[in-house]
Amino acid sequence: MKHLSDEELYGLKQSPEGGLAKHLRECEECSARYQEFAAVLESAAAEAAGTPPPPGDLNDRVWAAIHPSLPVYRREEQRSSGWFAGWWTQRLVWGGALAALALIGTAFWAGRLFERERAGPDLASQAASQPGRVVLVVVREHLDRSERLLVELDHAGHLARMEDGPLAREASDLLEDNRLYRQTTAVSKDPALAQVLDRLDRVLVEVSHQPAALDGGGIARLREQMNVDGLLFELRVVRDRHNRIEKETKL
Amino acid sequence: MDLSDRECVEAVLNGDPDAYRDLVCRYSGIVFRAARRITGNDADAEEVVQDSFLRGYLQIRKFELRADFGTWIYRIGVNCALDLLRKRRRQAESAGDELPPAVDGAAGPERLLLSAELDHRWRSAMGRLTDVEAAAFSLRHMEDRAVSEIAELLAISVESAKQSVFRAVQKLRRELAPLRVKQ
Repeated sequence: MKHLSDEELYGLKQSPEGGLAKHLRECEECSARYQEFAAVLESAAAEAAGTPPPPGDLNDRVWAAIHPSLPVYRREEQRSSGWFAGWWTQRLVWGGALAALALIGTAFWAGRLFERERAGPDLASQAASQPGRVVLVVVREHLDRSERLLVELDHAGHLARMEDGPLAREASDLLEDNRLYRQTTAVSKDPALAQVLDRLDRVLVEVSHQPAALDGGGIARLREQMNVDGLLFELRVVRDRHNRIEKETKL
Repeated sequence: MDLSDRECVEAVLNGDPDAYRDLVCRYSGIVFRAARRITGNDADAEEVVQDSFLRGYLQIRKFELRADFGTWIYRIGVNCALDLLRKRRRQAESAGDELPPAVDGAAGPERLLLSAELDHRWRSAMGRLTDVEAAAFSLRHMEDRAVSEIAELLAISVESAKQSVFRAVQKLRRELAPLRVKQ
């Protein structure tokens, strides 16, 4: 016969219903162990029932002992008015936070506007007094990139064959920028720069529209037709001149 | 007019410490009984009650007004009782003394029915339980608290609470078994 486990006997004492109770009636060993569990729980119950009530003056003694140590809390409006006040407080907090955000945003926007208003006339007067300087500052990187492309094109003629994919793509990118800078240069009234950009435009158009691969002869023809060496020289002159002007202005 | 628990707490938070007295009067009894089960004597139980209500007052800002104050202070009381029991154990260990049994020796009418030997054995067996086992057993079989509630009170899992109660029952059973055979 399989006997009941201790857990089953303890559980049985707590809730005697079930099929296990039948086994208990038939098994003396399990019944004896069950009585041991029962004795423990009965002792506990007797202990609980026999416990005298707390001392009659317990409340007074406890209060007298702790009262001098109790700090006085300051009024808390949020808690004292219950959830409704809490709801309003939350709304006020969120409202305040949003108002602060709006204020910061407005201040930022006003600052940007003020800076723009202040910077606008300065840049305009600078551009008027030093034609081409502002434009040159803006297009310097463009000229550097163009110079690198022209140098590469100039040296490519020494190779028997050049894969021009990257060169054509670079020329195509520069072409878009170049057209923008040409328009700007027209406003700045810098004829030397405008001339360089015009010539650069033609070279870039040619390079960007070349077939997938150029052999040494094709590159040499292009370089000659476009006078790449001359353009490179003009570009460097213009850039150096404007660099000098910029340095003098800084001083 | 009697204030509700929530009104008492609100009054305390609004600067009226005397409102706390109502809460002391309402709940000191249940805290005392639980503390006496765990610590085993009236003096320690009273110390636990004082400590519990003082802690409760100092932490009252953390009390959720929607919660039940009685449950909250009872939980503090059980923890204070366990803290005191551990303190007593440390003191006893450092002094080389044997821990006094963790069961109240005061005799009620039913208690008088137990033989002196059984009483002694019971107290001794309770004294050999761990703090958590003694607390879990007392709460389950003397205070009639649900296992889930015990788990929450002792900050342990429900399974751990169940196991603690069962281990306590097993230990007590082994201690008391020879006595039953003799009887």
